[in-house]
Amino acid sequence: MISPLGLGILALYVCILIVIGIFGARITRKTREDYFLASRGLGSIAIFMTLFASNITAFTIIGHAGFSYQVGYGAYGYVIGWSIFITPFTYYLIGYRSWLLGKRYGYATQPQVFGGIFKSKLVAFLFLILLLYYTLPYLVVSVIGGSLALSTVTEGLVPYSLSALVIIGISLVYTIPAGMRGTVWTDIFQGSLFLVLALFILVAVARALGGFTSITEQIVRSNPAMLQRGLSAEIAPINWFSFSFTNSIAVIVFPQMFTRILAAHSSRNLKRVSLFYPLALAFIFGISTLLGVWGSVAVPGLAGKEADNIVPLLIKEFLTPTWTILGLVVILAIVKSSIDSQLLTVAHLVTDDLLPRFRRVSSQQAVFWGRILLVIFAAAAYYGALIRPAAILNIAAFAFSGFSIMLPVMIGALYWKRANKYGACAALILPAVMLHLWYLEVLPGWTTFDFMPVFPAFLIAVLTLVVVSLLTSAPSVDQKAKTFDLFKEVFQ
Amino acid sequence: MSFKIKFIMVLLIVALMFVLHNSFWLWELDTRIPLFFGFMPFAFFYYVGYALLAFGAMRLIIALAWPEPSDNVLSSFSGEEKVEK
Repeated sequence: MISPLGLGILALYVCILIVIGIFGARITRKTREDYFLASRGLGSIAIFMTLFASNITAFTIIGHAGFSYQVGYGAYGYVIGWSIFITPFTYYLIGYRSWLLGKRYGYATQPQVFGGIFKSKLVAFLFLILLLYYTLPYLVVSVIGGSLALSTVTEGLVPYSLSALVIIGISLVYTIPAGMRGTVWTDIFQGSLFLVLALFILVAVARALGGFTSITEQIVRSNPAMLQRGLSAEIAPINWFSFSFTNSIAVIVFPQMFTRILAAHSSRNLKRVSLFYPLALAFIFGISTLLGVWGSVAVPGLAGKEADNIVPLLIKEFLTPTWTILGLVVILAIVKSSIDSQLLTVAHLVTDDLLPRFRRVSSQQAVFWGRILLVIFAAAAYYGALIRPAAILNIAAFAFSGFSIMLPVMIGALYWKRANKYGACAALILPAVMLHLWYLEVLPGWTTFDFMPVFPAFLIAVLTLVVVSLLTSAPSVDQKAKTFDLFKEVFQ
Repeated sequence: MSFKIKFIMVLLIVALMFVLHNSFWLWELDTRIPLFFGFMPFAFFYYVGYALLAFGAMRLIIALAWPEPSDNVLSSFSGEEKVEK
């Protein structure tokens, strides 16, 4: 049973979110720029926390801990190792140049940035379709993951369907009225909350298990394989290498991350984010890794998906009920901070990049449509979470890979003057088709040469962009000047 | 130093970080090296160090190849002015 103190903590958490929503709504102006981009005025702490909180999903504390439970300390380097460096690096590589273009031309989304660079409505449309195609299933899976965690932690007191409703409902309470500002302010609150509480939970679990040294000695004695990366088939070198092309480089392609970078106030803000991001990623995944590995000796015998419950189980078995509530708050904060940003971004993409193809949408109308679409996408995500359609779950399984293979076109657009719209279109379509053929097992496994499909698909994207661009006419001088004269002005 | 040279140096840093992440030849140290601070095996401690290195690498990249834009660039898009409360 949840104690009155626990109920009080939960109520306080929800009230703070609602107050932030109300206050954010009073400040937010009914303009496209302000509602969707907070008038490009996010400072260092705001941009850091919103990127970080949007990046961290239920996987961090649930899935990653479960994976660490199974493969040991090697899970840390496998899942987050390369991301620690390359994710903030892509904020420089892609983010800064896109931010400059946004400042100069008012671009607010990837379809606008890359459609603008290539001067092509088709490129913009392909970006829009692919981003929605991968983001929507990922959103549904995020809701499913969060709802399962919430119903598990409350031992069914809050059933799965109600959990999904609560998660989506609370997100809408502040996102509908306050737009980007609402999600950013709540990200600052929720991000700080889960960073601090996760550390407290780690220390409390360590103390309950006899201390950091004692629990590690138990692992060394009873399951030394947890220390040796070479003993796990799942993180074998070929998988380790291939995985470098999945999660880590996909982050900048997530539309919710990309849009937030465009909302930064200054270049200095982005620099600070890139500088401190490695430490924050290493910190939160380090906690999750330790909890997962410790769980393998404290609560042995969990198989398969059962291992994903290791953090809730550790809290329940070794800590007091109040800690269970705090653990629940951590999970809610992590889940909601990514779901609200995904919801706002898909509504933004449709409002800014799809509706104008059919009718003129004024700045004020964009806010109206954005709010309507938020409700529609939230309802769709809730429905998807309830019926869990196999097709949606299949797409979500390779959504990260799908995002990753769009990166070569983004890099080509920002760095290679010879890249053109034909190359970009081909490099968006062909690797996506190949990825589907591999994941849906239409093509035999050996055609990937034992790599994960994302690696050959990434190479296909690079080759297609280069070959098709070189075989077709170069972009016009004016078109190139629009992008590269700006970069010349800044970088030379 | 031209930006091209600086950017090549940035790419070298990226390549070095990639090699350090995929340093499979170091995996045998997982069994040889004792626990750091009593609770961190090599496989874990390596990435704590890697995070600090990534911090340093990003600092170097920022110093080398991340120039501040001029006011001209920043002021060229004025944003929307039709404000309605």
